Amino acid sequence: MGEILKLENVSYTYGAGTPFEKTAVKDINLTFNSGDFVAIIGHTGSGKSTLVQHFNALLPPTSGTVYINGEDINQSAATRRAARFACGLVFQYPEYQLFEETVFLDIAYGPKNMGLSEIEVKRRVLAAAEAVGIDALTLEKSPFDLSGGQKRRVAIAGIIAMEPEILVLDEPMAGLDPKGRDEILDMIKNYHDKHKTTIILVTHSMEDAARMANRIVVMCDSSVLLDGTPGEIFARHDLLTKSGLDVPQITSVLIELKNRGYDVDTSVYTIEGAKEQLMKLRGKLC
Amino acid sequence: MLKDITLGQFFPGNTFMHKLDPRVKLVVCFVFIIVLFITENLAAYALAALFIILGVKVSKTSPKMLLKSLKPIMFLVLFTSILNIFYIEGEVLVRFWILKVTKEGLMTAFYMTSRIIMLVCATSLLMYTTSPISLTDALEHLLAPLNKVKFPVHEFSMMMTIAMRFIPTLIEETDKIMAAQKARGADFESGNIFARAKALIPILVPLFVSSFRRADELATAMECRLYQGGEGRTRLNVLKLTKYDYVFMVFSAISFVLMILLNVVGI
Repeated sequence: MGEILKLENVSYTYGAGTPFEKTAVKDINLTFNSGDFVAIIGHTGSGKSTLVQHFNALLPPTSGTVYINGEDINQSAATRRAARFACGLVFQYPEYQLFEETVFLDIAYGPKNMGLSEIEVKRRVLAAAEAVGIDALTLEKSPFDLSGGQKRRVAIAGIIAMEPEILVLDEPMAGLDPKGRDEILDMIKNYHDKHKTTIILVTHSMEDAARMANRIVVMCDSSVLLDGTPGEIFARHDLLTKSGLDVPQITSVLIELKNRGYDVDTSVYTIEGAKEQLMKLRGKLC
Repeated sequence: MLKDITLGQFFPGNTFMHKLDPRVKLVVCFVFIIVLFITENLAAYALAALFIILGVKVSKTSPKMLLKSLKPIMFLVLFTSILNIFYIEGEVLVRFWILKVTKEGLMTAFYMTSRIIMLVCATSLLMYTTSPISLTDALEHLLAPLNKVKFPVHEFSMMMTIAMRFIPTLIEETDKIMAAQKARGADFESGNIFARAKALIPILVPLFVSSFRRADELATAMECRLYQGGEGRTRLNVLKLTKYDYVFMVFSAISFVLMILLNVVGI
Protein backbone atom coordinates (compact mmCIF):
# COMPACT_ATOMS: atom_id res chain seq x y z
CA MET A 1 0.00 0.00 0.00
CA GLY A 2 1.57 3.22 -1.18
CA GLU A 3 1.34 6.78 -0.02
CA ILE A 4 -1.60 8.56 -1.55
CA LEU A 5 -1.92 11.82 0.35
CA LYS A 6 0.88 13.64 2.06
CA LEU A 7 1.00 16.93 3.98
CA GLU A 8 4.30 18.62 4.63
CA ASN A 9 4.55 21.39 7.28
CA VAL A 10 1.08 22.64 6.40
CA SER A 11 -0.10 25.75 8.24
CA TYR A 12 -3.15 27.89 7.63
CA THR A 13 -4.04 31.30 9.04
CA TYR A 14 -7.48 32.85 8.67
CA GLY A 15 -7.82 36.57 8.06
CA ALA A 16 -4.10 37.31 8.06
CA GLY A 17 -3.52 41.01 8.70
CA THR A 18 -6.91 41.77 10.29
CA PRO A 19 -7.79 41.96 13.98
CA PHE A 20 -9.49 38.56 13.53
CA GLU A 21 -6.29 36.73 12.56
CA LYS A 22 -6.37 33.12 13.73
CA THR A 23 -4.11 30.17 13.02
CA ALA A 24 -6.42 27.22 12.45
CA VAL A 25 -3.82 24.66 11.40
CA LYS A 26 -0.24 24.69 12.60
CA ASP A 27 2.67 22.83 11.04
CA ILE A 28 0.93 19.56 10.15
CA ASN A 29 2.88 16.59 8.80
CA LEU A 30 0.70 13.62 7.85
CA THR A 31 0.88 10.75 5.38
CA PHE A 32 -2.11 8.66 4.38
CA ASN A 33 -1.70 5.28 2.72
CA SER A 34 -3.89 3.93 -0.03
CA GLY A 35 -6.78 1.85 1.32
CA ASP A 36 -6.53 3.20 4.86
CA PHE A 37 -9.52 4.03 6.99
CA VAL A 38 -8.39 6.96 9.09
CA ALA A 39 -10.39 8.86 11.68
CA ILE A 40 -9.45 12.44 12.51
CA ILE A 41 -10.62 13.32 16.00
CA GLY A 42 -10.62 16.55 17.92
CA HIS A 43 -12.94 18.74 19.92
CA THR A 44 -14.80 21.66 18.35
CA GLY A 45 -12.41 24.29 17.04
CA SER A 46 -9.35 22.04 16.99
CA GLY A 47 -8.85 22.65 13.26
CA LYS A 48 -10.21 19.40 11.83
CA SER A 49 -12.53 20.97 9.30
CA THR A 50 -9.92 23.47 8.16
CA LEU A 51 -7.38 20.68 7.80
CA VAL A 52 -9.53 18.52 5.53
CA GLN A 53 -10.19 21.43 3.20
CA HIS A 54 -6.49 21.33 2.37
CA PHE A 55 -6.78 17.76 1.08
CA ASN A 56 -8.58 18.84 -2.09
CA ALA A 57 -7.03 22.29 -2.51
CA LEU A 58 -10.14 24.18 -1.39
CA LEU A 59 -7.85 26.08 0.94
CA PRO A 60 -4.31 26.77 -0.16
CA PRO A 61 -1.97 26.33 2.80
CA THR A 62 -0.45 29.58 4.11
CA SER A 63 2.79 27.63 4.20
CA GLY A 64 3.69 24.02 3.44
CA THR A 65 2.78 21.60 0.66
CA VAL A 66 0.05 19.04 0.01
CA TYR A 67 0.78 16.10 -2.31
CA ILE A 68 -1.63 13.64 -3.88
CA ASN A 69 0.18 10.68 -5.46
CA GLY A 70 3.41 12.57 -5.13
CA GLU A 71 2.23 15.67 -6.95
CA ASP A 72 1.86 19.13 -5.39
CA ILE A 73 -1.84 19.94 -5.78
CA ASN A 74 -1.53 23.71 -5.50
CA GLN A 75 0.64 24.25 -8.58
CA SER A 76 -2.05 25.57 -10.92
CA ALA A 77 -5.79 25.82 -11.43
CA ALA A 78 -5.66 22.52 -13.32
CA THR A 79 -3.95 20.59 -10.51
CA ARG A 80 -6.35 22.11 -7.99
CA ARG A 81 -9.29 20.98 -10.08
CA ALA A 82 -7.79 17.49 -10.44
CA ALA A 83 -7.40 17.35 -6.67
CA ARG A 84 -11.13 18.08 -6.20
CA PHE A 85 -11.92 14.92 -8.15
CA ALA A 86 -9.13 12.78 -6.71
CA CYS A 87 -10.13 13.62 -3.17
CA GLY A 88 -13.89 13.82 -2.66
CA LEU A 89 -14.87 15.94 0.33
CA VAL A 90 -18.27 15.59 2.00
CA PHE A 91 -18.87 18.69 4.10
CA GLN A 92 -20.67 18.94 7.42
CA TYR A 93 -24.45 18.99 6.93
CA PRO A 94 -24.02 18.28 3.22
CA GLU A 95 -27.80 18.18 2.68
CA TYR A 96 -27.79 21.99 2.58
CA GLN A 97 -25.95 21.98 -0.73
CA LEU A 98 -28.63 20.07 -2.67
CA PHE A 99 -30.10 22.21 -5.42
CA GLU A 100 -31.25 20.21 -8.44
CA GLU A 101 -34.78 19.32 -9.48
CA THR A 102 -34.33 15.60 -8.96
CA VAL A 103 -32.09 13.45 -6.84
CA PHE A 104 -30.61 11.93 -9.99
CA LEU A 105 -29.56 15.30 -11.39
CA ASP A 106 -28.09 16.35 -8.07
CA ILE A 107 -25.90 13.27 -7.78
CA ALA A 108 -24.92 13.77 -11.43
CA TYR A 109 -23.64 17.32 -10.80
CA GLY A 110 -20.13 16.22 -9.77
CA PRO A 111 -19.58 13.64 -12.53
CA LYS A 112 -20.93 16.13 -15.10
CA ASN A 113 -18.39 18.69 -13.95
CA MET A 114 -15.71 16.09 -14.60
CA GLY A 115 -16.70 16.16 -18.26
CA LEU A 116 -17.70 12.50 -18.45
CA SER A 117 -19.93 11.04 -21.16
CA GLU A 118 -23.66 10.78 -20.48
CA ILE A 119 -23.51 6.99 -20.26
CA GLU A 120 -20.65 7.10 -17.77
CA VAL A 121 -22.43 9.75 -15.69
CA LYS A 122 -25.52 7.57 -15.56
CA ARG A 123 -23.54 4.49 -14.58
CA ARG A 124 -21.82 6.40 -11.77
CA VAL A 125 -25.02 7.95 -10.46
CA LEU A 126 -26.72 4.55 -10.30
CA ALA A 127 -23.68 2.95 -8.65
CA ALA A 128 -23.43 5.76 -6.09
CA ALA A 129 -27.15 5.64 -5.36
CA GLU A 130 -26.86 1.91 -4.76
CA ALA A 131 -23.85 2.37 -2.50
CA VAL A 132 -25.76 4.75 -0.22
CA GLY A 133 -29.05 2.85 -0.43
CA ILE A 134 -31.17 5.19 -2.56
CA ASP A 135 -33.70 3.30 -4.69
CA ALA A 136 -34.73 4.00 -8.27
CA LEU A 137 -38.02 5.58 -7.23
CA THR A 138 -36.30 8.14 -5.01
CA LEU A 139 -33.94 9.12 -7.83
CA GLU A 140 -36.81 10.82 -9.64
CA LYS A 141 -38.02 12.75 -6.56
CA SER A 142 -37.06 16.29 -5.64
CA PRO A 143 -34.25 16.29 -3.07
CA PHE A 144 -36.25 18.81 -1.01
CA ASP A 145 -39.02 16.26 -0.45
CA LEU A 146 -36.75 13.74 1.29
CA SER A 147 -36.23 13.16 4.99
CA GLY A 148 -33.10 14.50 6.68
CA GLY A 149 -31.31 11.16 6.67
CA GLN A 150 -32.14 10.53 3.03
CA LYS A 151 -30.98 14.01 2.02
CA ARG A 152 -27.68 13.26 3.73
CA ARG A 153 -27.30 10.04 1.75
CA VAL A 154 -28.03 11.83 -1.51
CA ALA A 155 -25.41 14.44 -0.68
CA ILE A 156 -22.84 11.74 0.10
CA ALA A 157 -23.77 9.95 -3.12
CA GLY A 158 -23.04 13.19 -4.97
CA ILE A 159 -19.40 12.89 -3.88
CA ILE A 160 -19.13 9.10 -4.23
CA ALA A 161 -20.37 9.42 -7.83
CA MET A 162 -17.13 11.21 -8.69
CA GLU A 163 -15.39 7.97 -7.68
CA PRO A 164 -12.57 9.72 -5.83
CA GLU A 165 -9.44 7.85 -4.76
CA ILE A 166 -9.80 9.39 -1.32
CA LEU A 167 -13.15 9.98 0.33
CA VAL A 168 -13.15 12.55 3.13
CA LEU A 169 -16.27 12.84 5.29
CA ASP A 170 -16.56 15.73 7.73
CA GLU A 171 -18.85 14.67 10.60
CA PRO A 172 -21.22 12.71 8.37
CA MET A 173 -23.35 11.65 11.36
CA ALA A 174 -23.86 15.11 12.90
CA GLY A 175 -27.48 15.81 13.80
CA LEU A 176 -28.82 12.35 12.94
CA ASP A 177 -30.69 10.05 15.31
CA PRO A 178 -28.90 6.90 16.55
CA LYS A 179 -30.48 4.74 13.84
CA GLY A 180 -29.53 7.23 11.13
CA ARG A 181 -25.97 7.36 12.51
CA ASP A 182 -25.58 3.61 12.44
CA GLU A 183 -26.96 3.43 8.92
CA ILE A 184 -24.54 6.04 7.64
CA LEU A 185 -21.59 4.44 9.44
CA ASP A 186 -22.45 0.97 8.10
CA MET A 187 -22.83 2.43 4.64
CA ILE A 188 -19.37 4.01 4.83
CA LYS A 189 -17.87 0.80 6.19
CA ASN A 190 -19.46 -1.28 3.42
CA TYR A 191 -18.27 1.16 0.81
CA HIS A 192 -14.74 0.93 2.15
CA ASP A 193 -14.81 -2.88 2.25
CA LYS A 194 -16.09 -3.07 -1.30
CA HIS A 195 -14.04 -0.43 -3.08
CA LYS A 196 -10.91 -0.21 -0.90
CA THR A 197 -11.09 3.57 -1.28
CA THR A 198 -8.99 5.49 1.21
CA ILE A 199 -11.43 6.96 3.71
CA ILE A 200 -10.78 9.84 6.08
CA LEU A 201 -13.53 10.32 8.62
CA VAL A 202 -13.67 13.47 10.72
CA THR A 203 -15.57 12.99 13.94
CA HIS A 204 -15.53 13.84 17.60
CA SER A 205 -16.96 10.54 18.69
CA MET A 206 -14.33 8.17 20.01
CA GLU A 207 -16.81 5.31 19.78
CA ASP A 208 -17.27 5.78 16.06
CA ALA A 209 -13.56 6.21 15.48
CA ALA A 210 -12.78 3.05 17.45
CA ARG A 211 -15.40 1.07 15.60
CA MET A 212 -14.46 2.14 12.10
CA ALA A 213 -10.87 3.20 11.69
CA ASN A 214 -7.57 1.35 11.57
CA ARG A 215 -5.74 4.54 12.35
CA ILE A 216 -6.65 7.58 14.42
CA VAL A 217 -5.22 11.09 14.25
CA VAL A 218 -6.02 13.26 17.27
CA MET A 219 -6.04 17.01 16.70
CA CYS A 220 -5.72 19.49 19.53
CA ASP A 221 -5.15 23.26 19.37
CA SER A 222 -4.48 23.28 15.61
CA SER A 223 -1.81 20.55 15.74
CA VAL A 224 -1.61 16.78 15.68
CA LEU A 225 -1.53 15.51 19.26
CA LEU A 226 -1.50 11.77 18.66
CA ASP A 227 -1.33 9.53 15.61
CA GLY A 228 -1.57 5.73 15.66
CA THR A 229 -3.76 2.64 15.79
CA PRO A 230 -6.87 2.81 18.01
CA GLY A 231 -5.11 0.63 20.61
CA GLU A 232 -2.14 2.99 20.79
CA ILE A 233 -4.38 6.04 20.98
CA PHE A 234 -6.67 4.83 23.73
CA ALA A 235 -3.73 3.67 25.81
CA ARG A 236 -2.93 7.38 26.20
CA HIS A 237 -6.22 8.19 27.87
CA ASP A 238 -4.53 10.64 30.22
CA LEU A 239 -3.52 12.83 27.27
CA LEU A 240 -6.93 12.44 25.60
CA THR A 241 -8.82 13.53 28.68
CA LYS A 242 -6.53 16.53 29.02
CA SER A 243 -7.32 17.67 25.49
CA GLY A 244 -11.05 17.47 26.17
CA LEU A 245 -11.77 14.12 24.51
CA ASP A 246 -13.25 10.92 25.84
CA VAL A 247 -12.11 7.37 25.49
CA PRO A 248 -14.76 4.80 24.43
CA GLN A 249 -17.03 3.83 27.32
CA ILE A 250 -15.73 0.27 27.38
CA THR A 251 -12.15 1.52 27.72
CA SER A 252 -13.10 3.83 30.58
CA VAL A 253 -14.59 0.84 32.42
CA LEU A 254 -11.26 -0.97 32.10
CA ILE A 255 -9.32 2.12 33.15
CA GLU A 256 -11.47 2.39 36.29
CA LEU A 257 -10.83 -1.31 37.05
CA LYS A 258 -7.12 -0.74 36.68
CA ASN A 259 -7.30 2.29 38.97
CA ARG A 260 -8.87 0.04 41.58
CA GLY A 261 -5.95 -2.32 41.40
CA TYR A 262 -7.07 -5.01 38.95
CA ASP A 263 -4.61 -6.13 36.30
CA VAL A 264 -6.29 -5.39 32.94
CA ASP A 265 -5.08 -4.05 29.59
CA THR A 266 -6.49 -0.52 29.17
CA SER A 267 -5.73 -0.23 25.46
CA VAL A 268 -8.78 -2.37 24.62
CA TYR A 269 -11.61 -0.56 22.87
CA THR A 270 -13.99 -3.27 21.61
CA ILE A 271 -16.63 -5.24 23.50
CA GLU A 272 -14.94 -8.49 22.45
CA GLY A 273 -11.56 -7.33 23.68
CA ALA A 274 -13.05 -6.20 26.97
CA LYS A 275 -14.85 -9.50 27.39
CA GLU A 276 -11.59 -11.32 26.92
CA GLN A 277 -9.89 -9.11 29.50
CA LEU A 278 -12.67 -9.62 32.01
CA MET A 279 -12.70 -13.40 31.51
CA LYS A 280 -8.95 -13.45 32.06
CA LEU A 281 -9.39 -11.37 35.19
CA ARG A 282 -12.07 -13.73 36.43
CA GLY A 283 -9.79 -16.70 35.81
CA LYS A 284 -7.09 -15.02 37.88
CA LEU A 285 -9.39 -14.06 40.73
CA CYS A 286 -11.23 -17.35 41.17
CA MET B 1 -13.58 36.66 -2.22
CA LEU B 2 -16.67 37.37 -0.13
CA LYS B 3 -14.55 37.96 2.92
CA ASP B 4 -13.20 41.11 1.26
CA ILE B 5 -16.46 42.98 1.77
CA THR B 6 -15.70 45.32 4.63
CA LEU B 7 -18.51 47.88 4.46
CA GLY B 8 -20.70 47.46 7.50
CA GLN B 9 -18.22 45.38 9.43
CA PHE B 10 -17.87 46.16 13.07
CA PHE B 11 -14.52 45.91 14.82
CA PRO B 12 -15.08 45.69 18.55
CA GLY B 13 -12.91 47.96 20.64
CA ASN B 14 -12.87 50.08 23.72
CA THR B 15 -11.78 53.49 22.47
CA PHE B 16 -13.32 56.93 22.80
CA MET B 17 -15.03 56.45 19.43
CA HIS B 18 -16.48 53.08 20.43
CA LYS B 19 -17.89 54.46 23.66
CA LEU B 20 -19.77 57.32 22.01
CA ASP B 21 -23.53 57.23 21.86
CA PRO B 22 -24.51 55.82 18.44
CA ARG B 23 -27.09 58.58 17.98
CA VAL B 24 -24.41 61.22 18.34
CA LYS B 25 -22.10 59.42 15.94
CA LEU B 26 -24.86 58.97 13.39
CA VAL B 27 -25.92 62.61 13.51
CA VAL B 28 -22.33 63.89 13.40
CA CYS B 29 -21.59 61.64 10.43
CA PHE B 30 -24.71 62.89 8.67
CA VAL B 31 -23.91 66.54 9.33
CA PHE B 32 -20.31 65.96 8.24
CA ILE B 33 -21.52 64.68 4.88
CA ILE B 34 -23.87 67.65 4.45
CA VAL B 35 -21.06 70.07 5.28
CA LEU B 36 -18.83 68.28 2.76
CA PHE B 37 -21.41 68.86 0.07
CA ILE B 38 -22.09 72.52 0.79
CA THR B 39 -18.43 73.52 1.01
CA GLU B 40 -15.96 73.76 -1.84
CA ASN B 41 -12.79 75.14 -0.42
CA LEU B 42 -9.27 73.79 -0.07
CA ALA B 43 -8.76 74.80 3.56
CA ALA B 44 -12.16 73.46 4.58
CA TYR B 45 -11.37 70.14 2.94
CA ALA B 46 -8.00 69.99 4.64
CA LEU B 47 -9.83 70.46 7.92
CA ALA B 48 -12.30 67.72 7.00
CA ALA B 49 -9.42 65.37 6.18
CA LEU B 50 -7.85 66.22 9.51
CA PHE B 51 -11.16 65.46 11.21
CA ILE B 52 -11.21 61.99 9.64
CA ILE B 53 -7.54 61.30 10.38
CA LEU B 54 -8.16 62.24 13.99
CA GLY B 55 -11.13 59.87 14.07
CA VAL B 56 -9.02 57.05 12.67
CA LYS B 57 -6.28 57.70 15.23
CA VAL B 58 -8.64 57.93 18.19
CA SER B 59 -10.61 54.80 17.23
CA LYS B 60 -7.39 52.84 16.57
CA THR B 61 -8.79 51.69 13.23
CA SER B 62 -6.07 50.42 10.96
CA PRO B 63 -5.74 52.77 7.96
CA LYS B 64 -5.39 49.65 5.81
CA MET B 65 -8.97 48.65 6.59
CA LEU B 66 -10.15 52.11 5.63
CA LEU B 67 -8.31 51.94 2.31
CA LYS B 68 -9.89 48.54 1.70
CA SER B 69 -13.34 50.04 2.07
CA LEU B 70 -12.40 52.56 -0.63
CA LYS B 71 -11.52 49.89 -3.16
CA PRO B 72 -15.05 49.18 -4.42
CA ILE B 73 -15.73 52.86 -5.17
CA MET B 74 -12.42 53.49 -6.95
CA PHE B 75 -14.09 53.01 -10.32
CA LEU B 76 -16.81 55.52 -9.51
CA VAL B 77 -14.23 58.03 -8.33
CA LEU B 78 -12.12 57.63 -11.47
CA PHE B 79 -15.16 57.85 -13.72
CA THR B 80 -16.53 61.04 -12.19
CA SER B 81 -13.19 62.75 -12.05
CA ILE B 82 -12.39 61.93 -15.69
CA LEU B 83 -15.78 63.20 -16.81
CA ASN B 84 -15.31 66.37 -14.79
CA ILE B 85 -11.79 67.01 -16.05
CA PHE B 86 -12.77 66.88 -19.72
CA TYR B 87 -16.29 68.20 -19.81
CA ILE B 88 -16.31 71.34 -17.74
CA GLU B 89 -15.89 74.55 -19.69
CA GLY B 90 -13.45 77.18 -18.51
CA GLU B 91 -9.87 78.32 -18.71
CA VAL B 92 -8.09 75.80 -20.93
CA LEU B 93 -4.82 74.45 -19.57
CA VAL B 94 -3.93 71.64 -21.99
CA ARG B 95 -5.51 70.78 -25.32
CA PHE B 96 -4.98 67.73 -27.48
CA TRP B 97 -7.13 66.35 -30.27
CA ILE B 98 -10.77 66.99 -29.28
CA LEU B 99 -10.06 66.86 -25.58
CA LYS B 100 -9.21 69.80 -23.41
CA VAL B 101 -8.39 70.04 -19.76
CA THR B 102 -9.69 73.11 -17.96
CA LYS B 103 -8.70 74.57 -14.64
CA GLU B 104 -12.31 74.54 -13.47
CA GLY B 105 -12.58 70.91 -14.53
CA LEU B 106 -9.52 69.93 -12.56
CA MET B 107 -10.76 71.71 -9.48
CA THR B 108 -14.23 70.19 -9.67
CA ALA B 109 -12.70 66.75 -10.20
CA PHE B 110 -10.53 67.24 -7.15
CA TYR B 111 -13.47 68.33 -4.99
CA MET B 112 -15.68 65.54 -6.22
CA THR B 113 -13.02 62.92 -5.57
CA SER B 114 -12.20 64.20 -2.09
CA ARG B 115 -15.89 64.44 -1.31
CA ILE B 116 -16.63 60.84 -2.26
CA ILE B 117 -13.51 59.50 -0.56
CA MET B 118 -14.16 61.39 2.68
CA LEU B 119 -17.83 60.43 2.60
CA VAL B 120 -16.95 56.74 2.39
CA CYS B 121 -14.22 57.12 5.02
CA ALA B 122 -16.58 58.79 7.47
CA THR B 123 -19.33 56.21 7.03
CA SER B 124 -16.84 53.34 7.20
CA LEU B 125 -15.43 54.79 10.39
CA LEU B 126 -18.95 54.93 11.80
CA MET B 127 -19.56 51.31 10.77
CA TYR B 128 -16.24 50.06 12.12
CA THR B 129 -16.78 51.58 15.54
CA THR B 130 -20.52 51.01 15.99
CA SER B 131 -22.17 47.62 16.24
CA PRO B 132 -25.05 47.19 13.76
CA ILE B 133 -27.45 46.64 16.64
CA SER B 134 -26.68 49.94 18.33
CA LEU B 135 -26.75 51.64 14.95
CA THR B 136 -30.32 50.59 14.26
CA ASP B 137 -31.16 51.39 17.86
CA ALA B 138 -29.94 54.91 17.22
CA LEU B 139 -31.91 55.06 14.02
CA GLU B 140 -35.07 54.04 15.81
CA HIS B 141 -34.56 56.80 18.35
CA LEU B 142 -33.84 59.42 15.74
CA LEU B 143 -36.80 58.44 13.58
CA ALA B 144 -39.19 58.24 16.53
CA PRO B 145 -40.97 61.48 15.56
CA LEU B 146 -42.12 59.77 12.37
CA ASN B 147 -44.35 57.57 14.55
CA LYS B 148 -46.73 60.54 14.65
CA VAL B 149 -47.38 60.19 10.94
CA LYS B 150 -48.06 56.45 11.32
CA PHE B 151 -44.68 55.38 9.97
CA PRO B 152 -43.86 51.98 11.60
CA VAL B 153 -40.49 53.08 12.99
CA HIS B 154 -40.01 50.13 15.31
CA GLU B 155 -40.89 47.54 12.69
CA PHE B 156 -38.62 49.29 10.22
CA SER B 157 -35.65 49.28 12.59
CA MET B 158 -36.34 45.68 13.60
CA MET B 159 -36.20 44.72 9.94
CA MET B 160 -32.93 46.59 9.59
CA THR B 161 -31.52 44.89 12.68
CA ILE B 162 -32.47 41.46 11.39
CA ALA B 163 -31.12 42.21 7.93
CA MET B 164 -27.79 43.40 9.36
CA ARG B 165 -27.65 40.55 11.81
CA PHE B 166 -27.89 38.11 8.93
CA ILE B 167 -25.28 39.64 6.65
CA PRO B 168 -22.35 37.78 8.26
CA THR B 169 -24.44 34.63 8.57
CA LEU B 170 -25.34 34.72 4.90
CA ILE B 171 -21.76 35.45 3.90
CA GLU B 172 -20.58 32.49 5.93
CA GLU B 173 -23.32 30.32 4.47
CA THR B 174 -22.44 31.40 0.95
CA ASP B 175 -18.78 30.61 1.57
CA LYS B 176 -19.70 27.18 2.87
CA ILE B 177 -22.00 26.34 -0.03
CA MET B 178 -19.46 27.65 -2.51
CA ALA B 179 -16.76 25.46 -0.97
CA ALA B 180 -19.09 22.47 -1.03
CA GLN B 181 -19.97 22.96 -4.69
CA LYS B 182 -16.32 23.58 -5.55
CA ALA B 183 -15.59 20.23 -3.93
CA ARG B 184 -17.96 18.80 -6.51
CA GLY B 185 -15.98 20.44 -9.29
CA ALA B 186 -18.05 23.62 -9.72
CA ASP B 187 -16.17 26.26 -11.64
CA PHE B 188 -17.06 29.91 -11.02
CA GLU B 189 -14.07 31.52 -12.64
CA SER B 190 -14.05 30.44 -16.28
CA GLY B 191 -16.45 30.60 -19.20
CA ASN B 192 -18.47 33.45 -20.66
CA ILE B 193 -21.02 35.50 -18.75
CA PHE B 194 -23.85 33.01 -19.36
CA ALA B 195 -21.80 30.05 -18.19
CA ARG B 196 -20.85 32.01 -15.09
CA ALA B 197 -24.42 33.03 -14.35
CA LYS B 198 -25.47 29.41 -14.74
CA ALA B 199 -22.69 28.32 -12.41
CA LEU B 200 -24.31 30.43 -9.68
CA ILE B 201 -27.50 28.33 -9.61
CA PRO B 202 -25.95 25.63 -7.38
CA ILE B 203 -25.15 28.39 -4.87
CA LEU B 204 -28.30 30.49 -5.07
CA VAL B 205 -30.82 27.66 -4.75
CA PRO B 206 -29.42 26.28 -1.47
CA LEU B 207 -28.89 29.83 -0.21
CA PHE B 208 -32.55 30.74 -0.82
CA VAL B 209 -33.75 27.51 0.72
CA SER B 210 -31.71 28.07 3.86
CA SER B 211 -32.70 31.76 4.08
CA PHE B 212 -36.36 30.81 4.09
CA ARG B 213 -35.71 28.14 6.67
CA ARG B 214 -33.84 30.62 8.86
CA ALA B 215 -36.55 33.27 8.50
CA ASP B 216 -39.14 30.73 9.51
CA GLU B 217 -37.13 29.59 12.53
CA LEU B 218 -36.42 33.14 13.64
CA ALA B 219 -40.10 34.12 13.38
CA THR B 220 -41.04 31.13 15.51
CA ALA B 221 -38.34 31.93 18.05
CA MET B 222 -39.49 35.55 18.27
CA GLU B 223 -43.08 34.49 18.74
CA CYS B 224 -42.03 32.04 21.45
CA ARG B 225 -40.60 35.00 23.32
CA LEU B 226 -43.89 36.85 22.89
CA TYR B 227 -42.58 39.48 20.50
CA GLN B 228 -45.45 41.63 19.31
CA GLY B 229 -43.94 44.80 17.96
CA GLY B 230 -42.60 47.91 19.63
CA GLU B 231 -45.60 48.87 21.74
CA GLY B 232 -44.75 48.88 25.44
CA ARG B 233 -41.39 47.25 24.89
CA THR B 234 -38.65 48.25 27.31
CA ARG B 235 -34.95 48.22 26.52
CA LEU B 236 -32.02 46.38 28.04
CA ASN B 237 -29.54 49.10 27.17
CA VAL B 238 -31.03 52.56 27.44
CA LEU B 239 -29.05 55.05 25.39
CA LYS B 240 -27.75 57.88 27.52
CA LEU B 241 -25.53 60.82 26.63
CA THR B 242 -22.31 61.01 28.63
CA LYS B 243 -19.52 63.52 29.07
CA TYR B 244 -17.71 61.98 26.09
CA ASP B 245 -20.70 62.63 23.86
CA TYR B 246 -20.83 66.31 24.77
CA VAL B 247 -17.10 66.70 24.21
CA PHE B 248 -17.42 65.05 20.81
CA MET B 249 -20.48 67.08 19.84
CA VAL B 250 -18.85 70.38 20.75
CA PHE B 251 -15.62 69.44 18.98
CA SER B 252 -17.47 68.36 15.82
CA ALA B 253 -19.70 71.43 15.85
CA ILE B 254 -16.66 73.72 16.08
CA SER B 255 -14.95 71.87 13.22
CA PHE B 256 -18.02 72.06 11.00
CA VAL B 257 -18.64 75.73 11.70
CA LEU B 258 -14.97 76.38 10.92
CA MET B 259 -15.30 74.53 7.61
CA ILE B 260 -18.33 76.59 6.62
CA LEU B 261 -16.63 79.81 7.73
CA LEU B 262 -13.55 78.97 5.68
CA ASN B 263 -15.80 78.36 2.72
CA VAL B 264 -17.61 81.66 3.15
CA VAL B 265 -14.42 83.64 3.65
CA GLY B 266 -12.92 81.73 0.76
CA ILE B 267 -9.28 81.34 1.70
